[in-house]
Amino acid sequence: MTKLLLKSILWSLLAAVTLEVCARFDDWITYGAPLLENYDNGTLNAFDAIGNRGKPHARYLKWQLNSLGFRNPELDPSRPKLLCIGSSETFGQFEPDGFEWPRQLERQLTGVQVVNAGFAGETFPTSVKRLPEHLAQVKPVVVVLYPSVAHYLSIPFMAHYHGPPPPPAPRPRMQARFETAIKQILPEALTTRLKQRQIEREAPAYGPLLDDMPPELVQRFEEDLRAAVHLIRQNGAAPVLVTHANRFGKSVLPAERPMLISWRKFYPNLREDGFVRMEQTMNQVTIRLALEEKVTLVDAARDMPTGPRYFADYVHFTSEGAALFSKFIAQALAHCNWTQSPPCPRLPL
Amino acid sequence: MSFNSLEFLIFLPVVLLAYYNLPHKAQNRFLLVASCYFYGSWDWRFLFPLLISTSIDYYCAVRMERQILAGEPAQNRKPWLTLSVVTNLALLGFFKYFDFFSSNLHTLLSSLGIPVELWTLQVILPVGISFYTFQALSYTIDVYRGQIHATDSFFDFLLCVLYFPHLVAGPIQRAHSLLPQVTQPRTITSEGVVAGIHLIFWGFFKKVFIADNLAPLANQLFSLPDPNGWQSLMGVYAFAIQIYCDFSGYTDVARGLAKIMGFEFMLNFNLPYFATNPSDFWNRWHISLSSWLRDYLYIPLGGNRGNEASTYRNLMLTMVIGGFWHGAAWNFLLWGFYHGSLLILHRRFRSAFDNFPLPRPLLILVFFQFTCYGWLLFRATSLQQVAGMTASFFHPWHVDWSLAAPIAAYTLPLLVIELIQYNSGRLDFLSFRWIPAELRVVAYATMAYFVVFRGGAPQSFIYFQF
Repeated sequence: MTKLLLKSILWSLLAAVTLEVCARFDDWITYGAPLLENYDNGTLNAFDAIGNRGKPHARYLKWQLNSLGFRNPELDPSRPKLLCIGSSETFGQFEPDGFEWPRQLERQLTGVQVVNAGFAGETFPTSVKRLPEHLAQVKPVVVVLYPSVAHYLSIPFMAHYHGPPPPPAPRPRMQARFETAIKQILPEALTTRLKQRQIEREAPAYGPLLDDMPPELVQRFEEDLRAAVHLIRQNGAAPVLVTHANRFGKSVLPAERPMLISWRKFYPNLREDGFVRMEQTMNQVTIRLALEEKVTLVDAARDMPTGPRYFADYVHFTSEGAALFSKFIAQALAHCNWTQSPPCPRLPL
Repeated sequence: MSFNSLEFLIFLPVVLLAYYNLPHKAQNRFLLVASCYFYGSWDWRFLFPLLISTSIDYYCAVRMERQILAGEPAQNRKPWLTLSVVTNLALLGFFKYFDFFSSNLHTLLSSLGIPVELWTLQVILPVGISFYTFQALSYTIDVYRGQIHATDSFFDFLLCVLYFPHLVAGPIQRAHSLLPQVTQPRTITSEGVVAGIHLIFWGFFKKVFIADNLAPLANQLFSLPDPNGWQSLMGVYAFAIQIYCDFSGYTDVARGLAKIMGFEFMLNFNLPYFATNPSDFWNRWHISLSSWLRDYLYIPLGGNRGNEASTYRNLMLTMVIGGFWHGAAWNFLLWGFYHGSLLILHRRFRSAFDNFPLPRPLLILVFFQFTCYGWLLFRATSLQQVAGMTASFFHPWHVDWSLAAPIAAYTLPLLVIELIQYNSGRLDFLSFRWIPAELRVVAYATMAYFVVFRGGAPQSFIYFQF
């Protein structure tokens, strides 16, 4: 009996080691991943004085960064540049490589290079801090700002940045694979319930529940947005503001509630009903500021259709969604002649 | 519920847990209930045609058995055999072929200027109907011939037909082999379980890693409106590997499941792409069907007992009917006709074939091309596509190695394993006693990795549609 037990333990260990070796060789062959180091989305991160950013030449699964740490081909000095600033919606999460909206936008514009400086997880205040550097590097003629507004909810709770974190402990590659496989296998009702419980557990740490974005954070967003617009203009480029679109539109359908709960997992301090309201509040700021500052506005929140055809989750696009989103921006820039200097003398409002 | 579904992953351990802890009779009843649940999970209405045909077959067989025991002449048994054959073929014809004949008759009459309304049934084809019909037919025919005794237990016979590992896509088990395994207590040995586990792992590897990963490429290349020769060739190669791994993968899992429950299913695939001629191929591919067609169609038609012409006629009829068994479409008839022609040519020029001065590997390679052309006929969705893809072989080829690379990559593990199997003469190579258990664990874990984490998007088993 003891012998059988020992054998079973040995075989289980052997199977686990084999699986881990398979995973590492698989990553190495498929993506050129290192065999012995950790390999997860942290592979794409580098840290500087402002915070984390895209690591030059990093590669993780389908994501590949250039020498500036952008998910973009190298800069082409012969073409005028259109710079895209944003978070994971701009960086591209679910679309196959080459189908994120900045790449699709480039295919619709003749003679211009679209530069995707969006980075997953980057908040808009961080983007604004990085803007001078990006403007100096890229020297764009147009800058499209697509801020992920919900990030402002977590700003009060973000730890002050004190430099790069210590290197993470070695983690088995099979762990992430199993976690993903289990998530895919479990029924949606169960995963939603688990997420709800996690939200209920974590929400008290954020203080009282919110019904909408707090006014001071709305104010902060407006200041950041205005600062970005001024900075872009000071650098001789034309800003384009885009309102934030989401899967739900003006109200959340009952069938879409699990997706809303998935979103809320990142912002437990906002009530479920508050998400649509929060997006509208922040988009009103964008629209008002565009009018005040006479900046070209693309009202994607109004124009984008809702639902899973265009959104793979709550805010991230499918390929089709990215195509439509880029079409709206291309339409706003339709009058630009990219062979002229400046290509868009007066962007329409 | 398919073998490659999450439901089955829950269903199987529950079934095994109960099965191992029950006495023989209760095992049979439990397997019957589990099989009904398995089959009914597609659509519970599918159970009705199956129960109707099985009940009639059981009754006819019992009546014939009584006549045999009473020493009545064989012709007295004919009405019961006829009833069984007609019932089975009528159900098959109703569900599978009615719409085909109706729409073709409509086309024919319309082309003759006779206005008729198209009348189709639009019924769903019960999964596995072709398989269980042939299995049930073999039972009543064998009883009629006095080759087996009819069982007096309806539930045992029902389990023979319904037993979930082979119900929907075979192997088409003969009653003389399966019925005793149902009626008599089964022995579960560690060797049997090890061999079963090997088959299950290898079957899933072939299906999920190889077939499901090649399916998108085959689908893409077969959907090109105007493919060049290279695209057609790669499409056919991708499909050849896909269909083999899909079907033989299913069979291996079915045989493995049976083994771990103490049953023994017949071998259905014996390295078919190592065949050197058409006759050899049909001794290796879908053996349970080809041997069924041989025993219940080719030999009753006269087999090779008459002159050459009648042998050719019998061969052609058997293969065309075999092709039509796969599906109610002209391309399946064409596929049967093609293989019938190959068999006739091989028979006619056998001495020339056998003495052909080519080394065996080259013969295998040459005959593989003929097999692949057959798959073009099988996979095409219309006769126009057959003509278009065939014509593309005679036009300039634009070689694109990026199409060949995935086929080569996914075929490589299959080729390596099958070369070992071919050279060792054993298909159960992972069950070899001399392989240390630790090495087997490594092999299984590796296969499990590729099945779970590198498998293609789940595709239904191709032969479920038949």
